[in-house]
Amino acid sequence: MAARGGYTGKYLRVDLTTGEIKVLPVPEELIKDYLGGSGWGTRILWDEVPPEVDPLSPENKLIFATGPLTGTSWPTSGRLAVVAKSPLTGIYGDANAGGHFTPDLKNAGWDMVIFEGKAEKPVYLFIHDDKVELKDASHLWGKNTVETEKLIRDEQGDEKIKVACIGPAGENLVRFAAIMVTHQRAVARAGMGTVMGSKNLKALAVRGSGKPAPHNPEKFKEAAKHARKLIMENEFTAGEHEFGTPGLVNIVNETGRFPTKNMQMGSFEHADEISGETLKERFWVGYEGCFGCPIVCGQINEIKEGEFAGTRTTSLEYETLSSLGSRCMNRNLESIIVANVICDEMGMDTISAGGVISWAMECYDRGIITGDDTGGVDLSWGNYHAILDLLEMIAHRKGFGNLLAEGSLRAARQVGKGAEEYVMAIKGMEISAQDGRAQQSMGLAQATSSRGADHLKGFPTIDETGYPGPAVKRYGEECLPEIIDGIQTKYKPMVVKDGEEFCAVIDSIGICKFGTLFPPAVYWEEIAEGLKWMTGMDIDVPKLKQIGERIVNLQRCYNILHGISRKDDAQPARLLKEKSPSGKAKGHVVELKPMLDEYYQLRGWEQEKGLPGRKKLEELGLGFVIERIGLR
Amino acid sequence: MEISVGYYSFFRQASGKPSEVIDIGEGTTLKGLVTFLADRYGEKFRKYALSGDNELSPMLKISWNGKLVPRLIPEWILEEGDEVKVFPPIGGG
Repeated sequence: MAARGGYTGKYLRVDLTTGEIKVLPVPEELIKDYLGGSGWGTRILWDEVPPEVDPLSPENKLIFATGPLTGTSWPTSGRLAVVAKSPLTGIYGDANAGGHFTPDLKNAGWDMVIFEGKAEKPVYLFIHDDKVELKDASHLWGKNTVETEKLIRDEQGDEKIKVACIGPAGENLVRFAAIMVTHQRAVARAGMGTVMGSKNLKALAVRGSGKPAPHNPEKFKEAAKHARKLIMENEFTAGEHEFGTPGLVNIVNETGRFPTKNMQMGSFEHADEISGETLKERFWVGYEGCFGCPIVCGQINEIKEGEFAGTRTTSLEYETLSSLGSRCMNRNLESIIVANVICDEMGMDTISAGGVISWAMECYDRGIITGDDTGGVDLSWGNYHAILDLLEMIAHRKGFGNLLAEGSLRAARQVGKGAEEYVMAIKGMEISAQDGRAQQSMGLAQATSSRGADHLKGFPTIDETGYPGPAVKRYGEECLPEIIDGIQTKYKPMVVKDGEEFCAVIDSIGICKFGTLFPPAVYWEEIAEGLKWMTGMDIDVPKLKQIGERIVNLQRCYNILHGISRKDDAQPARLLKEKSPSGKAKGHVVELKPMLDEYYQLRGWEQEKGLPGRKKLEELGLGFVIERIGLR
Repeated sequence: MEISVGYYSFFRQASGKPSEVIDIGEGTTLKGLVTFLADRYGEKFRKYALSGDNELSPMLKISWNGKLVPRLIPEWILEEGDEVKVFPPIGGG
């Protein structure tokens, strides 16, 4: 199809086995029914990557997709979606990053790039507008992600090239390898970097000179300006800018939501030592923002003296302060900064890395893993030198790191001896930094997330610490007080369902969840307005909600093909049975069953296996899945 | 009587310290404490602690003796040895 507002109408299909690069039109159905980003990736996986395809085989597809708002004046419009079958979980996988990469892909004239096959030797794809070439990357193989970006820019003689690349972790097929994009933002979860490494694809480098052309420039400008105003006037934005996500540490520690000691607890005695306030006081040197973002939540931190002097990192996030901090009982903030750098340079998901290390620490504590297994690495709780050593060992699959590189579930199954009991993962992916016992909505959202344990598929924030204003505005006063109380389950299935559909749209249009679900500024109405004027399509809130629901249901159906059912929409036994000892969550477990019953009912899914009903699928235009998922 | 107060986010920047023990009068209410701190630490503190009509801000969060309080009652009376932590609007992850 021809270009229209928000779309160039063209994409690249790159066969890495043969080296053939095809220029293809984006099907109208994809645009109308799935918008872009993860929506497109979902439909492509359904159509082209059946259950028998091994995620590390050439038959897997790796999809880089922009959205209709990518690179526009809409606030936070720099996001990239990458989709593939996940080598960590074996099911639907996607990840999303900010930074400055994606607008150049769109400006170069491409809505999407699909990689298939496997190159015989390492390659990278270089795109400069309509010039698209596969280049030899043998000299880049083994380099970390920072070195790789610099070397590509040097050899092409252009400092403005944007790069998405893997480091040694992706090359060595660490199952939770990330893709790093300019500037050091991570497409982190679910092993998208692993798929890239399995194809001998080192990088995608782009330079684009075009500009977005809205369908109605004046109206779109107005809508974007209004969205920006809502974000900047929101009560939470100033704090988000000043401290970034690390600002969350102390307050969630009070609620008992801060995963500690492999999720044995939800509060860390030394939380303040690894908090946003302490980072700001001791190491902060500046801010860094993503393309088009007025919030600028990225914090630049530098260690000027001591053991790790000279270390500098951008955007050390709340998640990492938990995964490589409290989860491992590590109170040494400098070491977490260094750990963040290692993960960024090696290209690894910090959440899964911390998840597998803290699992190993608990097993070591319990005598299930010993010094003989670890090659002498002392996995005592809080040993930050061990954490730093292990991250390098994992990235290079050396010694004990080779086992951990498999992720906690596979590693536990290899170890046996009851090690699996201490895996804090769902559908094979390590749980992120939310203890569901303190925030029941997150407990449900992690269980139902299509890519495995995750906070960003549903991203319920309304009951995190409990501000009535945003809750009343979005859900009505009649929902108070339960809807803002993290411990209560009432209304939470509705919140998670709505959040999942909203996030499915956000991940498909190229913008950030910050500014939408949190700070709770822009929502369905504003997004529909922006898309309408950008694309010229007949979009309103009900149509947009239906698209979100379609994407969620298709991801579910894809997972059903891979054997997922109700039994997998779970939480670890620890969080279902062991009462939290911490904060406001003390005495509570995740009350999953009643929430899941209600969630399925709201979704029109049957109760036994969580299968979408025929009526729901037909209503969403997904009748084509019915036979394949075995519905009668 | 003495109580301890913990400061977070902008409140820490305004007060210049992570926490302190302060001496307040018997029968001081929650609103009385917050107003006292706003007067002591100035506009940066006041902005996130009190609303335009000098009532407790709806965006203020308090942890009282280890528990995040769901709803603030300005007339709550503090007691000797209480631990109060004050947070401006924070969330998101």
